[in-house]
Amino acid sequence: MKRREFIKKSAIYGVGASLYPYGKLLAGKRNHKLKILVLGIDGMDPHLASVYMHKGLLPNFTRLANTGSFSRCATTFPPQSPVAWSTFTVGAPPQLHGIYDFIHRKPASMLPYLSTSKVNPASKTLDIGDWKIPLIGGNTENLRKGIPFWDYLAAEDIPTSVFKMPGNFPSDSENVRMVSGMGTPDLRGGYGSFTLYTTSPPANADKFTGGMVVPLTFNDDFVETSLEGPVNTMRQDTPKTRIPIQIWRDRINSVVKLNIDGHELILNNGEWTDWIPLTFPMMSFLSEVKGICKIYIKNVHPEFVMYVSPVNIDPSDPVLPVVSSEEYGKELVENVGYFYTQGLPEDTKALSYGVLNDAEYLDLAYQIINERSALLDYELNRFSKLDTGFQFFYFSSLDQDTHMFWRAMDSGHPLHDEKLKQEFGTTLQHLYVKMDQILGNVLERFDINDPNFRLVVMSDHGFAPFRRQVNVNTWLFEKGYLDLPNRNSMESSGYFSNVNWDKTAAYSLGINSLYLNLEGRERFGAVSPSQSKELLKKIGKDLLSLQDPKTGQQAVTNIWTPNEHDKRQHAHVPDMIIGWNRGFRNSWDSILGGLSNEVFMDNDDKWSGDHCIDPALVPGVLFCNRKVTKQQPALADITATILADFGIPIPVQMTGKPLYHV
Amino acid sequence: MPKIKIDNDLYERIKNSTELAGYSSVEEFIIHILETQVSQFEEAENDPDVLERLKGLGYI
Repeated sequence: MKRREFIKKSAIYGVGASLYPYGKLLAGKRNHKLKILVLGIDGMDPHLASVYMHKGLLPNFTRLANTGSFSRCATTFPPQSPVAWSTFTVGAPPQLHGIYDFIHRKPASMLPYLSTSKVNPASKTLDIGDWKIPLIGGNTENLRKGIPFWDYLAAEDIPTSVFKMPGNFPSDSENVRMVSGMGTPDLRGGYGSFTLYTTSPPANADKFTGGMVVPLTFNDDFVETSLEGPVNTMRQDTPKTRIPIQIWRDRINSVVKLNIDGHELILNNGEWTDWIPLTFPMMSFLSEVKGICKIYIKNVHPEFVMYVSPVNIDPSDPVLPVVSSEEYGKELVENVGYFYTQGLPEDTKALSYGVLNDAEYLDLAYQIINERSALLDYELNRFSKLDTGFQFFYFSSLDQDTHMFWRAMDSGHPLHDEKLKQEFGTTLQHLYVKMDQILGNVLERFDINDPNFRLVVMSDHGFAPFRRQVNVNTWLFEKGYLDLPNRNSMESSGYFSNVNWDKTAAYSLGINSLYLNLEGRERFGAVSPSQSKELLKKIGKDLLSLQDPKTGQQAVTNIWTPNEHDKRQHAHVPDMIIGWNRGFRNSWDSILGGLSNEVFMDNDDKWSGDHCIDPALVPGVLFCNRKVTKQQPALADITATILADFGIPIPVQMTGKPLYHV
Repeated sequence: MPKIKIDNDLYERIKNSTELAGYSSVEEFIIHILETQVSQFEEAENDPDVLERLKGLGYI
């Protein structure tokens, strides 16, 4: 971002030249030799880290802690990744950046949307026969408000690179090297959609979310099928684009020959491909969309089963801004190879539905870690040659894999058993060791005692078990806050499909959010604004006394009711954020407006650990090669420290304070 | 082409923000804002796949 544009943007957010004294900056406080490297390890838990460090399994984290500091880092309320990383990004709480949950809703239509970004279709098109040519509009929009800290760095000409920051899509900066993070869609427009080709479709295939099943019937060991790509918006009938796939199988030798988009592949049973570049035709010879996918031959015979990863946007020829420039995307692909561009690469849905088993999921998980590690290596090569600069680099693996394998070490989880413990009980430990090895590579390259080098390793939150799911909408119904016209058919996974809005006072949507059905705001509002304060007080009191009938445990330990000032900043602010106790979380159905027959149920999903609970129970980690002196450090404090270390005044809208005296 | 009337003070405020927001004219700025707002409601009616797409997130 050019300085003139930056000043304009600052004015829009009320920072203004008077509050951002450039004259002071130009007076020469800046350290022109300083380099700051921040490694973001999503979901790294301080308790697990301490246990493994105590066992001597994490020598590099221990060395970093002994050189500087290791402490807990306070997370956001709610402790969800888009919320927490946005707080780190702008150095302020949700009241500034406006991200309160993975999911927000439009009160007027009552429909949900991903809170962090959106893709807007073209507003004007030229229609020629079957073709629809986009003329005006069509863009991607980051819904996070506030100024990211890297804009302040770029405005001071500090070489800056931000790799995969969650909530940061699109990558729209001219002066910052950037790869977009969590919230980046795959080529089908979802957030990770695998394709399973099989001669034996699972009985529950129609229930799959986050993927699709294509039934196959071989004829003389040959079958022709296709891979679904993006919708062709250039055609009037908006069909889905497809790439043909031919498959031959050799049942005796358990080998498969594939032909996909001109690539001929010979694959053994249990073999993964590397990334395969694909071209989806949109308009003959004039327009095409580039994607990449990986293929895994799960079984050749008697049943044929083949997994195809979500089709990712090709970073070397991106159809959406997943990299800050096409040149940067090409540079990464030429030097490191193709890589996952979708926001969260780990295929947790494939594991939850049994499309991949535990070992297969972990095989892919380690491919992802190694791919990310190679990208870090490349970025650090460049960073090490700079005189001064800032580098942020993000790992999603520990978070996603802890979600999936908590059950293997938690004897209280409904899916835990001795066999699982024997096979996968140390999976999380191995993952922490892997992250320690990656840190070890960093420590070999940089001198952590150099006064001009700062190294921060941080996470956005820690972790807790997810043993019991709580359907908040069913609870609201039982308490009389939500009305159903037909009480005998309560169970519904549809989006509030059976709710009588005229008599409904409150509803839950998202992982931690609760809303009043407010007159003048919600589409069928039934609660007068004058009643809202008392009503929220009553719901909050009821929630805090909610007990699990199975264990007697308190299900909710904290609630936050954003005030009217907060709501004036952003129209979509929830009326209440629920802070679950350890072991509890909103139910799978309730998150998207479904109801169930029971309020409390066992969580029988392999997604068995979680962190979307009371933030006091899941702090993140903060390792730093300087001694942190600030009491109870928080995410926004790290942001403030980055600016302060570079000699940049901390803007008034940032609430964080430096971690140590600068 | 239909015309609408707006308050003079509001017009001045929009005019002052037009350049700051990076638009070349007041008309372009207003049209963009209106299109953005209207599309929110149109999208709600025209996007039945939104729930399916969100369910691709492991958290949901």
